Amino acid sequence: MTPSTDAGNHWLLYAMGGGMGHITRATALSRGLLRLSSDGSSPGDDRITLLTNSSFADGLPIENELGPRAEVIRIESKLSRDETVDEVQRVLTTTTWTAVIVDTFPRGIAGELAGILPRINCPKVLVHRDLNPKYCQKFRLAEFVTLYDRLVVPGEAALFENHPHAISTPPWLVRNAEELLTPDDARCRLAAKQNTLPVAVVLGCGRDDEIEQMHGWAMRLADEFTGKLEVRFIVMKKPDFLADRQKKLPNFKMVSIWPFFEAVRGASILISGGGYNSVNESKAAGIPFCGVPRKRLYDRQENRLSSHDCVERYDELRSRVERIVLKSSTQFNTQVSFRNGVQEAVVAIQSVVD
Amino acid sequence: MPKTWDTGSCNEKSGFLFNHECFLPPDDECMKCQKPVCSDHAHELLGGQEKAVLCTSCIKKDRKQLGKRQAREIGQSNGNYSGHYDSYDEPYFWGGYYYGRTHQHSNVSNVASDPHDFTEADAESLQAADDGEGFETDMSES
Repeated sequence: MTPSTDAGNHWLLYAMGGGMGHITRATALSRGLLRLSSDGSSPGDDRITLLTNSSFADGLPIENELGPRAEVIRIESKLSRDETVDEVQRVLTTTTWTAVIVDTFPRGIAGELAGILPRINCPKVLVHRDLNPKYCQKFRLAEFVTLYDRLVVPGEAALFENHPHAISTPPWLVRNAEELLTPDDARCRLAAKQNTLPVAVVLGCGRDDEIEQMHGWAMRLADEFTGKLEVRFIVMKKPDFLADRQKKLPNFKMVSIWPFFEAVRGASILISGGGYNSVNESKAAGIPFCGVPRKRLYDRQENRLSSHDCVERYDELRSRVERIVLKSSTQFNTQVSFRNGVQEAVVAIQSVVD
Repeated sequence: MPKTWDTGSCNEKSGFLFNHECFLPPDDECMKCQKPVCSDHAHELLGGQEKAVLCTSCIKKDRKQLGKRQAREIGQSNGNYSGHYDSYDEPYFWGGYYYGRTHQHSNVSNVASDPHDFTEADAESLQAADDGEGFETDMSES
């Protein structure tokens, strides 16, 4: 075991799982924990180790986002279950942590934490979110979560939110309101400064087939609304099929921005799946939203989307875009004010190690 | 020296196609090897006064020995091997039925090999099916 230095806390953030949601939420929390240390509230230079196996992780500049006090361990996404378990075990048991903070999966993505966590002598925190009730029942999570010293519920209803160890916060966001780019600057980041047309931002995230679908929809919007709408397709991992589909449309561009939230005020409408970050980011910034609820094993995206934000077919999206963006006289995005739940989460987490 | 078990989770590793760790909380203890096992890996013995369970590994061993004994006594067997266990139709025993029993007492088929037999290529989907919903088997889920 390598003891941590006395200089500050060393937090482990377990952000295993596919997609970008776990990483983005863990990055938001990491920023909060590192800031707590920077502003003198914590007795030294805190450090973060963030553990991920997302196939998106290689393309995300997480180290740039978090700075030198953060280490990102990227477990290869294609490893088998057993190989993944071995890697997690190696990481968790070879350092002494101030606390282990587990995002979403109480028992780990492979159930491996059930064997590992009881052997680690430090406080444990669960970022507790809504989960498929069949999973909760099958693995008796109601009993298992008692292993955690704190359950932090990040802004959405969750099964054990009334647990004695649970604290609920507003949604966690990777930027505070004052850190968002102004609409002008955000349009600049989106390469949409050349005119004043509204901008439809389509997020290419999730599985490859979902990215392909969103890319197709973005192209169709650009094609059908040429001269009326700018379309930006935000993608951080370009599947091979996108390389040979660069049909040139004057109002369509593919852009890589992460975290995208920083540039959200440049969007007139945000089109995505029904994941935690895109839904909560659009709400916080007051940007109209269209989401396609994706089928996931644990996350129930259909519960996150309100009926008026939910689309399942292109024609629904098209009429929504036409109505909200092209025919509306409402000026969106004039002021932004929201509470970022990260600050409250950091206080709740810090309290278990004080 | 008796084997020591981790009492915090099920210690049985038997799976449908492949052995793998089971991290479910234990419900019972195998009466033979004292291994803590979850309800999926506990197989109740019927007929006794008190509840008694065997783990999947012990019941497989037991069944193998019983099979050998009955093979020796062939002709006297009534073919009902599974009489005193409650769970021979569970997936853990399917392999044994197909490859073991079909030669002598098959109640499945007399065909020795089937072109639609499972192969390793089917493993991924079958492993998911083994876990019901596929929880804790897909490392890319969210």
